Amino acid sequence: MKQILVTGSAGWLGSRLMEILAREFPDASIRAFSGDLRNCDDCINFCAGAADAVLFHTAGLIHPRRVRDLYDVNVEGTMRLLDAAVAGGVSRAVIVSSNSPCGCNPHPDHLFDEHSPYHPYMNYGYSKMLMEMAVQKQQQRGDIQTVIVRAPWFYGPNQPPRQTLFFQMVRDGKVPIVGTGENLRSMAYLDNLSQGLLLAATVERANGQTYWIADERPYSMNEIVDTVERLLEEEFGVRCAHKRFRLPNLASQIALLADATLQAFGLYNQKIHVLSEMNKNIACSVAKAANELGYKPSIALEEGMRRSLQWCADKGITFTP
Amino acid sequence: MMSSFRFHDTVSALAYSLAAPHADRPGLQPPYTDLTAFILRQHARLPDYLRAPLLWATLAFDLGGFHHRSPATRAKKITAWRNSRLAAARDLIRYHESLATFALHSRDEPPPTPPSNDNPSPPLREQWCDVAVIGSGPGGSITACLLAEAGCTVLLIEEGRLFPTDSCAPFSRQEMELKYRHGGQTAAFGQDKISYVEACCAGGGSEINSGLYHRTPPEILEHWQKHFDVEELDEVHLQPHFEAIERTLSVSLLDHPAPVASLKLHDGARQLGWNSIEVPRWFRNGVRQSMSRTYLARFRRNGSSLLAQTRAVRLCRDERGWLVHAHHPSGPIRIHARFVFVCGGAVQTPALLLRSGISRNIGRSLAMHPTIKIAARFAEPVNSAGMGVPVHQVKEFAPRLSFGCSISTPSHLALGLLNHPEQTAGWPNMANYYAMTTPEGRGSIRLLPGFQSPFVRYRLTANDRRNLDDGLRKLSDILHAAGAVAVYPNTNLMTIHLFSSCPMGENKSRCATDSFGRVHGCANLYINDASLLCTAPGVNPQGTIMAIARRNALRFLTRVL
Repeated sequence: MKQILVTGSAGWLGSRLMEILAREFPDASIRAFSGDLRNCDDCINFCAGAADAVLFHTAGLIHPRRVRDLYDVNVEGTMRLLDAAVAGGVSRAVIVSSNSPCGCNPHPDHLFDEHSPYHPYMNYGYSKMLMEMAVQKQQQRGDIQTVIVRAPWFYGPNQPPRQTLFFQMVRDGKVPIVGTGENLRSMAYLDNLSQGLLLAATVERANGQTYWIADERPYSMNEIVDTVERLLEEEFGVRCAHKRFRLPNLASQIALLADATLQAFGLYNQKIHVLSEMNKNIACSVAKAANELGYKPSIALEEGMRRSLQWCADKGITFTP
Repeated sequence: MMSSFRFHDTVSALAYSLAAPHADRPGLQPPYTDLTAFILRQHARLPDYLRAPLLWATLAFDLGGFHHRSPATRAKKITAWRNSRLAAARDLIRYHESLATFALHSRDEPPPTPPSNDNPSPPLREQWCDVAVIGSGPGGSITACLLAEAGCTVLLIEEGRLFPTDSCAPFSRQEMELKYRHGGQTAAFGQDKISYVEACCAGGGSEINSGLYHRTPPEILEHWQKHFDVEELDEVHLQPHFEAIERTLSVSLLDHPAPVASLKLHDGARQLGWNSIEVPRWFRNGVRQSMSRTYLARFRRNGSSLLAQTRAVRLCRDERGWLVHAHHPSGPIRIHARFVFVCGGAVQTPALLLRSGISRNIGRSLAMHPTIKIAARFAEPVNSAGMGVPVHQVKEFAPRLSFGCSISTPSHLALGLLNHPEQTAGWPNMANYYAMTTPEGRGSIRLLPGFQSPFVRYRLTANDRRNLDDGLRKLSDILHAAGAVAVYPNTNLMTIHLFSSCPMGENKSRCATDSFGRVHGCANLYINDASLLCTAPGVNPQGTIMAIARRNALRFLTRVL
């Protein structure tokens, strides 16, 4: 890769990807997008003269202020960017999508894979589904190669305040555990995800494909919270409350209803949205990426969380109250 | 929309639970999205009158949130329904279980090549011809080929698609999805359900069967002449037709050793002193022959047109003869023909005639060869990935009972072992065997108002049941004599031989057509397929069907034209 374009480079995933790209491809010219995906000229300028470049599109909106913004950025923005990429001569675009176009697993032992049908979760899932469909259409026209990477909940260095808040809630015993807490969530440590993105950019047969990229196996909600709690106490000397904010399944049902009602009015509340997902299974299989891309996630939950906490410590974010 | 998501989720939960006994074997692990997708595709292919009831039954099964439950809780509910006193509950589980198991064990089969572009441009909406032949199975292909070669303008109408030869591996899941009617999910209803399969592709049954060939037993021909007053149907009259067919299809014995599983049956029978034979097949240079390689190819080489993906809906009289209302994906087609030959097979032919208001002795005397199967395990390997087609049949008790070795791919074996999933891992030591009976019972084909798929019923007599029991016992004896260490009977009845729904003969009280296939009371309308066979022949019927089709087509050319 001689020339690399990255959108969302200021974000959680994008910033980590920039670091890894700089390390792996020291000779490449790496260009970061600074502009607004809703602005055509920004996209065109960004892709101008990018013949044979690889584009990583990591920018996206997850928690919007208004529901409409999801479509403006995730669907329209991506299309604007892809049109500009075609005009600029970009050879392959790696597009980061989400688990949300497929929604939640229909039953507790289910794993998503690349054959799973669309069943989008709320407006965010719907916007990412429309984005995927538009990307595939663009790819079929043959003007540009595309690879869609579906990533679930990620974690790792450069984390945003909402993830720091999650750690604080673990410390204070305020993480809501809805139901038994045995529901499974796939998570993607940023370096694993970045490995997947690089493979998606370089492996020939990936063109036109969709891949789930996450850690090797999904984790139960309890395992995630327990691991963070243990690491905080044993390795970072933070005393934890050892409590859980236990809620019945009904709480998520109510949150789901509230979220849907708000979104129907074009409004969005992050906490309600997250609470509605707390008892859901969102687990996937990375078998296709392993078989076709040679994807081998090397970091699992404990080590990943350890590194996340270490990053916090290095940044001066301490969890002592 | 909501119910379709719920159906998907329930099917997925069922697939995961039903595949769980195999989940620790390499290649059979989750995720099972492919199983779910297969079940949903197959559900969409069901006969129309079964689609909605199966959807409702599945949703009813999900009442109380089955699909949200843990695998252990789900397994309990499945067991409860599997052992339910309600037949519908048991059938629902059986349905999902069969499909999930079949899909799971056919996972590593190669993908099919896409069908050839059979109708490059949409066909003309209005067409004229001398003869319209409906159905391109053995009966239809032979009729169309011989009439076209004699100079008639023939239009051959086929509901299925035209596939390139070798488009999919024989007896594979892909073949079932592409070439079988309703994806192979057809059954005759009655006290005992008998599942049957029909082809739906150019070339018909000849494209999907084993190609085992028998001439019609002389005593059967005698019976037909005596009880149905069929003229000119003795060995002497049929001899030239048998010979011509055998030449064209190169009916021959194997030029290489038979599969081990087939030889086991042969050995077992000989140990018991029972007559066992190698049945000849239509085979040339290691390639199985079929209509698309022989008569259908000749028909097309002759410049005649095959109208694939075109379903004949109804026949009406018009001033020239007949008007065939047909349906093609691009829209309706009207075909004007002086003569019509209906060759849709024992179920579709009577259904088309009934839809056209022709009903005298039509579809009321369906016969078949009810068959029961056993999976046998041996101490040593008898099966392998490319096992080939078994060719031996035990004819000691013919025509009442015949025994043979059937298709034994891992997926077909797993289907026979639904009650013994733990046995499927040892498939190289196992093979499927069948006991085929010639019954007294009769069945019918009826139309259900508002539905397109014909409804098939079949009633076994007490004698037929005794024969099936006896067949199962004798088959076990043979297999034990051959060294089987365990046998697993599959209690589901099945058949691949259907006929006699429109019997021929001059006896107008029971026959639908005259001795040569002309429908009684209908000028210029003929039947020329398995429907004509007066009763069950007790042997693989395709030789009989082809010889009679040739006889009738040639008779038509000399006497009618």
